[in-house]
Amino acid sequence: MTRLRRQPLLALLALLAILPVLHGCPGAYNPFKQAVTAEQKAYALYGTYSIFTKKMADLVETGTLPSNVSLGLIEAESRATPVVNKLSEALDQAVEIAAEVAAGRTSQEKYAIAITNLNKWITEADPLIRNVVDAYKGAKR
Amino acid sequence: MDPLSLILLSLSSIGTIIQNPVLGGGSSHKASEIVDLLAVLSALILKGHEGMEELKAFAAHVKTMADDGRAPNRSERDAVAAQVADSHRRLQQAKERILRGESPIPDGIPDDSPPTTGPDDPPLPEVTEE
Repeated sequence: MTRLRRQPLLALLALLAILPVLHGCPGAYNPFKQAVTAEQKAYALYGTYSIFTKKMADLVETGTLPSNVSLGLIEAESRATPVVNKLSEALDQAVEIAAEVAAGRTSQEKYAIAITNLNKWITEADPLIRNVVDAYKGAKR
Repeated sequence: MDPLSLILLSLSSIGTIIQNPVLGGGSSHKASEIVDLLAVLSALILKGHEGMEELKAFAAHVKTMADDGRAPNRSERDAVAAQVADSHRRLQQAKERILRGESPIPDGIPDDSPPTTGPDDPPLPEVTEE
């Protein structure tokens, strides 16, 4: 029972590694802070996520974690990845439309719509991560 | 001593105190679970630290991209997508192994111990350099 109670805490701790990137981490460690455009911000989020899910997989595969902790981490990744993949699709679309605009094959309005959509997914991912921070702080109290 | 080492040493020391009755700790089931938890926390912090180094390199890459005023190109996006997909696949495979009651360590990953042979096992082939 104790293990079950601590599982969410550990899962959140692991995911917390992602959070300094976005909130309060020095700029040198914060890809998001280095980005200027929506495309760069989306790429920064996506790349950061990839780094930490890889670390998460490495950690789970060591076999040193209790099974319920590993399953908690895997569950957290399973919930986040669909949102991150939508962000990736919106990024691809925005970059491709930007190229078409540059080639004169499509309108600036279409690019504006793609950027609006991209910003929507960036905004979608951000509160998801903030919720993890709040839940972690609540669990600590 | 860097802050990371200090944190890990602190966690390890707390674990030692909790486990040792001579140092004022106990050996109850609850205490052993706390020690277990501290070990996991240490591992998570260490992994987090390793992640930070990769993160620093990636942040520098994004900064260069921003300085150049360009968007991420196809190969950069594909590389990230491949890594996300690979991690997802590995985690799902680990989940299946765990749910089957097996170790999450993937097949083909040798453990740290040297290979041994039993009395009835055939001898290990000799490794020759070409």
